[in-house]
Amino acid sequence: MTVISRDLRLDFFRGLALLFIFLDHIPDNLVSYFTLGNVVFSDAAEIFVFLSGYTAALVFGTVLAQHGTTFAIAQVLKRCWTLYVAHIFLFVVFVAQVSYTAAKFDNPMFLDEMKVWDFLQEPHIAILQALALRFQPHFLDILPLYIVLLSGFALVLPALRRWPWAVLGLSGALYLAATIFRFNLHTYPEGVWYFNPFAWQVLFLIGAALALADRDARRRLREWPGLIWLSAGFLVLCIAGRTAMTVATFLDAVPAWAAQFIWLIGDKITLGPLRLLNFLALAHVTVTVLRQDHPVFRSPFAEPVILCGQHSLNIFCLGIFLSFLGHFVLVEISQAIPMHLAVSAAGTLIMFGTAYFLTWSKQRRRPTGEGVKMATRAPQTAPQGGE
Amino acid sequence: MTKHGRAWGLALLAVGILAAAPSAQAQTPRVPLPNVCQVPDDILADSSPLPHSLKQLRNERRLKIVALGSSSTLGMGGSGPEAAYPARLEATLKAHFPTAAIQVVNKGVSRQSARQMLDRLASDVLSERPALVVWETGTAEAVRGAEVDDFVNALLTGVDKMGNHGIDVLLMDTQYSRSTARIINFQPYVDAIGQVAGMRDLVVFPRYLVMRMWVDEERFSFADKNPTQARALADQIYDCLGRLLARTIAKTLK
Repeated sequence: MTVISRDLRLDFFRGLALLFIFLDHIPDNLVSYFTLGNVVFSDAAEIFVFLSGYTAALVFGTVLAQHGTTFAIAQVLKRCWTLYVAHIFLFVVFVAQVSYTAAKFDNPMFLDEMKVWDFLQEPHIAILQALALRFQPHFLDILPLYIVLLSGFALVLPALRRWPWAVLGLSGALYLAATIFRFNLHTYPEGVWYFNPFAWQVLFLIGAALALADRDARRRLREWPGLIWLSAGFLVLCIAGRTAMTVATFLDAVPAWAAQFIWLIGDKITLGPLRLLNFLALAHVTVTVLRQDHPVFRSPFAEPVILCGQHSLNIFCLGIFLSFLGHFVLVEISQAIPMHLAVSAAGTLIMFGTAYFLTWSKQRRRPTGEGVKMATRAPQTAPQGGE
Repeated sequence: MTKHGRAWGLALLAVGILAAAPSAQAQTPRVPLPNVCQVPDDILADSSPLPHSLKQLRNERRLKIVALGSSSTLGMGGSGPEAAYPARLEATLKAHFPTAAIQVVNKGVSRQSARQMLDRLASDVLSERPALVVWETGTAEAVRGAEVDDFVNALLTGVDKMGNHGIDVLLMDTQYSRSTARIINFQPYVDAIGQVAGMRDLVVFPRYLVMRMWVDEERFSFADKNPTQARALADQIYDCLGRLLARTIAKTLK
């Protein structure tokens, strides 16, 4: 297996997205005001999906080149299985919390309304639905998207290598169709997927196509005249617009037309065009400003974030679990501002610590001679690098 | 995208950072509020108007309100409709406007979603010819995890239909309790209600936020209560909600 020299930016921004996902998943968390979603119209979900597509293409594209299509598809499906098991683990955590709460339920004002919840009425069916990825309570909606996108990717990968423009064209058409006709997968007992896979696939495949494109093509895109100014200009507009929204929301002065407009073009379920363009502009500006060899990625502050990104599935699951826990603490103990800060800081440190631990334990299994420092530039062997 | 819950968190923060502009201190309301019901004034601040209610109150010295909602409008968990928030709202509004004829009609139906309420809009609401509808909704959707877009569309349909009939709409969001907050995510539905209010310039009664403050301050707790005590406590909470809602409406109409 050949060694791929790794772009640390991938790990850094994936790690950052995982941190944001943890912070944003604690309902009402004050610290989440300072995550990406409150600065621009897109958030950590876009980073995560885009980089997942990019990494998947990088890792499994190499496998395919070296070991052929069948083996590559088998490796992708193996990865899907790992994700599925992780999803079931998080579901068990959720069930534990529900069972605990249901056993001690003492609020008569809610008793009547809770009767519409099918999970309490027919848990046996809800569990089967969860196994089929159709039961997606809060917190448990990202992994199903990832699983579906990755298993679809197994089929698309060979075509994407041969005819990238044709595949991207079809993918874009599917995105537009999902946006216009609003079709989506259904969840149990009602409703639809929070991340519509027919829409979000476009971002995953854009990432994958960029990873598979050769150096020249990427350089041409980077140096396309005016593109950087167009992106930067649009990004500034987005930041200004999003900030104005936050201030106006705080003052209860959002104009009705603005609320209506944002709702139309910025919805998260179908990856509204505003969110998609905002993210692409942000990504373009970021990779232009922060080159691969930028010293920031070698700084000690970046190291824990990079390590989180390198163990993304484990850290993702841990982050979701910590959000559960953090929410529990805020609900049960205190809503005070210091508590928000403490919960957010503690969770972040636990994620960092775990990332160091995982790196360390992985290295112990390898021949000696590699220090922790090496980890940040560790050559990743396929296919585990898909993490 | 009005996020009342978040707005409150942000408000706390901004007060610290900006030492913001002095909050508009309204004249002390004439109707006293029991201490146990108190919440900070700015939580209930809302600049949206209630034009039809104002007209009815000024010109006809009366105000007819329909309380459209689900289990908690009906007063579930308490001792019955006469202790539910609409009845308490009526009693308190009468104190706010002693010379006007105030009537609040309770049209709560157990466990209904906003969409189900649309089906009885003509029979339960329009035929009553109110000037104001207090629409309490979102809980059934949150508990079932219904699609937020669909919820927003149902709300917009209802709000617009009532608006066309010359009715003001005031939205009331979900209840809050620790045990439910642990397992159900209410925030997207509370946000959706704020969003619809933003799109149509409606007054919102932030019940979720108010009840959450009470819970965080350990003001009302159902833990270790026998059924009689629990019922009395629910009545007390409904009473506070009715009084606070009356204060919100009175502030807008004065």
